[in-house]
Amino acid sequence: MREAIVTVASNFSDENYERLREGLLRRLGGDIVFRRVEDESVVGGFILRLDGIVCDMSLASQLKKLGKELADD
Amino acid sequence: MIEPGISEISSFLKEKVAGFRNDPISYHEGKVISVGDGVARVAGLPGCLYGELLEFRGCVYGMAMDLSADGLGAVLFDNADTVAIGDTVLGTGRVAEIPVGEKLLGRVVDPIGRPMDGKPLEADRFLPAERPAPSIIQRRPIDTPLETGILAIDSMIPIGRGQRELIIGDRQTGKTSIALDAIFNQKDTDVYCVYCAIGQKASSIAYTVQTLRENGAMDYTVVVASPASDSPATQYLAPYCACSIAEGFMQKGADVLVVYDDLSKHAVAYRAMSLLLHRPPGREAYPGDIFYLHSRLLERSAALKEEFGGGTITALPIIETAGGNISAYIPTNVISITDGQIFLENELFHSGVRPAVNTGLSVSRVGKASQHKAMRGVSGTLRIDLAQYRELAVFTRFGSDIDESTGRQLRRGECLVDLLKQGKGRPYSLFQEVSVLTAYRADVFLGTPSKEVPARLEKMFAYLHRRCASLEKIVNAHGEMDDEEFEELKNAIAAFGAQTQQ
Amino acid sequence: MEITSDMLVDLAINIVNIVVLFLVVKFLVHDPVKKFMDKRSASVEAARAEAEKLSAEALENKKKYEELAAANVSAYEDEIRKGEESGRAKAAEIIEAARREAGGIVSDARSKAADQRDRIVSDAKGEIASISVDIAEKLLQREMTAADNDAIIDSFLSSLGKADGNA
Repeated sequence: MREAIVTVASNFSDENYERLREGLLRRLGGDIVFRRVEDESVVGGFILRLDGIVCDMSLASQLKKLGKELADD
Repeated sequence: MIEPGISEISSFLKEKVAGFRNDPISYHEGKVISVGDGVARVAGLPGCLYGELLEFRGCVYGMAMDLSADGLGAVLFDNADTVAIGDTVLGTGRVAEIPVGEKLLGRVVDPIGRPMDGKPLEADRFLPAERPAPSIIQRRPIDTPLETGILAIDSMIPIGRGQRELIIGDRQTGKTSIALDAIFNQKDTDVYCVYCAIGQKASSIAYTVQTLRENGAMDYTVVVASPASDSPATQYLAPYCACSIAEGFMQKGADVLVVYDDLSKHAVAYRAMSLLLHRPPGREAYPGDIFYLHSRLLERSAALKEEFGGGTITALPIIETAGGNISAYIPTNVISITDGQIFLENELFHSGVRPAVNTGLSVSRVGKASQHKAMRGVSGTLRIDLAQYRELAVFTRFGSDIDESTGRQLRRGECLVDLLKQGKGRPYSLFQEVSVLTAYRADVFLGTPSKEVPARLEKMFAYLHRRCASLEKIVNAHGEMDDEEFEELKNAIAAFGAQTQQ
Repeated sequence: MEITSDMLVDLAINIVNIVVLFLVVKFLVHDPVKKFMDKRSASVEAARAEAEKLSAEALENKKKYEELAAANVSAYEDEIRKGEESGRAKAAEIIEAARREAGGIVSDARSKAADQRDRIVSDAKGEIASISVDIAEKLLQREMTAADNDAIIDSFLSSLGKADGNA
């Protein structure tokens, strides 16, 4: 039984969550249990942790990346 | 002074924003299960490579060295103070690598590639620390000499570019001095040098760097420093990183000299690391792959064929023995890997013979092929002369009566031993070496008392520099003399001998 | 008075006395004294001649000395001049070295100023970048809609479909 941890901000609606859950179940197989973690610092989007792999689709990380690119020479 | 233009900054930022791509970010993540003694056990991280760099909390890096189904063991490079159980561990996807290239010249770096001399380091290229050695097809036989400037070595134990020559001896017998003198002597050549300090005192490393700087050697040398305060994992990586830096130059077709000072401490660090990873201890508690540890490092020194760039890496590994025992475990391992050894003896050192090279036990398995023609001509009988002298010296210790010819042989032997003595940091050019040996063969120094030999030698060098200046240039540039030129040299030396007769 | 023969005898004896006295005085006093006086005047003469000779010599020497001194002075002047020249050359050298040093310091200062400027610029860039990102973060936090999230989810799922899953 694989556990998927989805970290989202409060602006992530229940519809969004269901859409993501069904999409993942369909593509990755049915034996996944989902857990929702609320974290405002994500800003938008989500972070998915499954099988030791992290898929970071959060806006916070994209903003951080942008910030680093702007600061780099 | 140019004022910082605000428009300059804002246009730069606008450009960056326009060019930003929001690619999805994905990485592997694991969790620390236990940490202690510089080793962290991590769960998760499937697909982790052997030797992959892992990032822990607090920017601490570790290397995955123990992969198994129920987690992996990673050795930490720095202090493990900030790593706690349950911490997230990120897989970086890259194995240990080191910056390489010309920008490293004159710098002191640690095995992770961080500069240790206070200035930032930018590098254009990175190479992994562990790389496969050149294959058999890629190699060519060694044909070019590497001049160390030390007469005893260049004449009887000559080193070629691409050779591995071990410097082995007890502590305080001059091993590092020989290696450093070899580096100093590459000053006006096209040879790059890499000095790797493993497990030494930080003060010794600082002193060595200072010496290199004072002699102008830092312009063509890179120092990789891993002092004794570094974790065993860092000390373990150090020589591999030094070799990768050398390979960075070799790939461009250059000749490189690498000094590993010393591999005994490297073996000890690897032993510590292996024991902490619970690998089974073997002889003297060293792990089973202690031979492979050094063989894969030293096999990366080679002379490449022209079509692969033609570059070479010459390795001078240093091993410290205890009590002159070269039959111990690690010394025998490394002796069997290298193409010869320079054996330094305690007794010789303390009786004033410096460099304290035991010419009987020292050998260069590449030898004559990599010696300059000019040197080959005059150094042929030296080893035999010395061996015979040593035998005779044993007999005369009993105070027996000696006949005329034996007495002469003894005096010649003593003379040769005196001529082979050389000061630290005082390398000879090829011409000077050839002239010393020619003077020996002509018995010019036969009557000179031991204490006066160095001064008289310097006078001879000065005399020859004045009298045979053009010949000196030719020999130093081309490495050979024809018969006429050799006659000229012999006559000049004979004239000097007559002039300064004792 | 009658001139008696006794008186003539007395007169004769007196005259003889005077002559004898005269002769005695002459020989005993006058002649030695004269000899002594002559000798003295000769020696005075000799001394005078000597003194004249010496004075002439002295004059000679003085003349020679003056000539030498004049020569020495000119040699001495040469020395002084050479010393002055070398002093001036040394001064010029020192000034040149000082100028070079000052030039080095100036160019060093200039490069330090350029470094400082670069640092200021890059610090400014960093500050502006982080402020911009903060602003963006605040805005997005408030303005994120469900549709925006849907878009992210969809792009993620389609990338999953393209790739071969992720485990």
